[in-house]
Amino acid sequence: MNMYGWRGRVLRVDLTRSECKEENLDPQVAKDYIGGRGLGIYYLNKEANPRCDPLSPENMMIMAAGPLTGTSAPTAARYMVMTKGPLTGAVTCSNSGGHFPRELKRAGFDALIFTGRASQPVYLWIDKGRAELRPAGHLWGKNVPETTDALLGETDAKARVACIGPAGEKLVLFAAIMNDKYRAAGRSGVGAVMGSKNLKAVVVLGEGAVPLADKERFNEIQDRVLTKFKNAAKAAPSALSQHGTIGVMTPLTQKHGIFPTQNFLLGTFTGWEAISGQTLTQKYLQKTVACWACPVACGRFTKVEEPGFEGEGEGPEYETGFALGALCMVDNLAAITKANYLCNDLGLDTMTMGATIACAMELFDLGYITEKETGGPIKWGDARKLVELVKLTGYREGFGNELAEGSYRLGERYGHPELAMVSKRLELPGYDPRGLQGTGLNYATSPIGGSHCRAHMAYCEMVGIPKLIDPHEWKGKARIVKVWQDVFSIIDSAGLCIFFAARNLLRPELEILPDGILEYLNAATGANYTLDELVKAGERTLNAERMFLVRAGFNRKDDSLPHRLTHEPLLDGPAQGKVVHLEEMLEEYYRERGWSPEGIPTQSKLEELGLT
Amino acid sequence: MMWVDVRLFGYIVKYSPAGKETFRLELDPEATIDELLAKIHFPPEVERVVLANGRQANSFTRLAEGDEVFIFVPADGG
Repeated sequence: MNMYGWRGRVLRVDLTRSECKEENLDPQVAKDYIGGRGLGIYYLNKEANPRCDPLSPENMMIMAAGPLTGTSAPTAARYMVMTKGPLTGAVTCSNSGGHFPRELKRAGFDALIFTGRASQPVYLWIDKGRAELRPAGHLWGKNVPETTDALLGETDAKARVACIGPAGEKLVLFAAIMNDKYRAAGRSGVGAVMGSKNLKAVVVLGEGAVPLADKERFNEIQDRVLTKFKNAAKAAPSALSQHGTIGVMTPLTQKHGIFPTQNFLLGTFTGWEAISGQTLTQKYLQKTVACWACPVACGRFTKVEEPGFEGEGEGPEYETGFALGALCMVDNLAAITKANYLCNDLGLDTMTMGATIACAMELFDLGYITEKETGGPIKWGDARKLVELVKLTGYREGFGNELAEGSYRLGERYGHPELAMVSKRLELPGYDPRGLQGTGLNYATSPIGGSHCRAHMAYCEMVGIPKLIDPHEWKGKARIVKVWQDVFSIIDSAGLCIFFAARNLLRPELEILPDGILEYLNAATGANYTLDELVKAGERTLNAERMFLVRAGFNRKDDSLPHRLTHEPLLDGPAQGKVVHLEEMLEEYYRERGWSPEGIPTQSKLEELGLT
Repeated sequence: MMWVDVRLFGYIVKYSPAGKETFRLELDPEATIDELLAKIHFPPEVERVVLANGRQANSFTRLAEGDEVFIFVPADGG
């Protein structure tokens, strides 16, 4: 059966048996789960053991694109890596853009499902629909750019590569999967899962365009959306294009007093201007970089020449600047950028890397760890130490072997897990939730743990998209978080980027509705979604992910934030004196979701969503 | 009269009297945000978010000597 938007085919790769097998995508499953993130959780719930050891052959890993991925819809460049994460034990939603996801669709696949473990290092080569596993022993130990270049040399220069670096091979618990050299499916340790399977890389070459159900209609929508976007950009040039995420967010979080500093001890950083996007533009920016079909181009290609920090590549983005910068009290942008390059080369999540070093700095400051363990002082703000620790972590050498376990396990080992700024063991993003209550609730209830991308509440609590609400009010936030989480899962599942979709493809009301995405999806797939069906599909994904967590042993106590954020009032800045009112918001949230007071979806909710 | 510190962020820096991102502005005592915006000829139709000392302010928020006012346009990002 011909499908549009979706390619209608899924590739199963049994690494233990060294077999690749194609199967059809069930059109009803495609419609109910949309694709990408939704499709990932569908297969995980159907076939994976939620209680498995994430680094054992029993774990499944899914790379899935959405029905819009690879079309010309703005920012339709995203794919999702879904598995059981080794850092968290929870489901992952590691999302990345660039060009690899489009190529996967052009090669004719909606998803790749990896099971088992190869006996020797291998890579998957997909050449216009034909798939084979090839030996990768000669690539083992190589970093991301070396691996990428070698693979393009031995396959096809026009192919696209997603691979792991040394960190994934060494099972660093927050190793990333890097595609197109610089883009990261960064969070929760998906790169370690790939390493545990002896899978070094996936290389894809496709051809042609993704078939559309109603090309004329698609082009009409496209003209309207892009014209509107371009006119708006003419009147008000996009700050995101000009200075990147690090330029948009750093001044805003600093001025709101929610720029997490010194491992969340403070909400403002004296060195903020030195590490902002404006400084990056002046000192290091070479050119801006766009993913496939993106009119924004928030990517930064940079070059640093300061001695000791020399290098070039993409980054840093806001989250990287916050984690490797303010959180560690480092105000040296050259060092932060260098640490970012190393994370990219070694295949590490910059956010967990920075947060784990910040945790180590606090442990050292308080005397809970000493030079005996660390091999030298680890002091707040030490820029050279920051760079050295990233390198040690990527190879699991010296104290880096302990940092490689992430902040929770590091704190726990030395008797102070409360110094790990995590939710579900995933390190928190760069918005102190004591100054943004809804953001706190979203961190605590996000299925993957501490992530802002599952519902970017800072948009309405700080930035003014679609409108500003009181960031310090906690009453009524549960409803908004629930609605936003459901709609953000639709963005993820369709294959779009939240940066564009949140502003341009959602109804500009606080209770956002995905009108723009609906139009694109129907023109691309011909699936005739109603708005209700689409919203329901988003809610279905959230509940399916929750059921994975429940079966993995998670419950209400895991919907938590660090004690520091719920009990220790913020010490400085405009949000001084605030804590997160999590327990109160959680009660409301479970009610809004139709979950039990323990946070478990009720039978009637599951029936309503067809999840029984 | 009183002085406040103003910072315009992003392309709206073109409304800065001195052409610089940060500047000091003299206003009547207890002037409102709207009065500040009028003084720098900031077009009312331009969408913006205003913080006074880090707290969200509206058109009628009154300012005091030494207040720090931060004005930006909503932008995508993360």
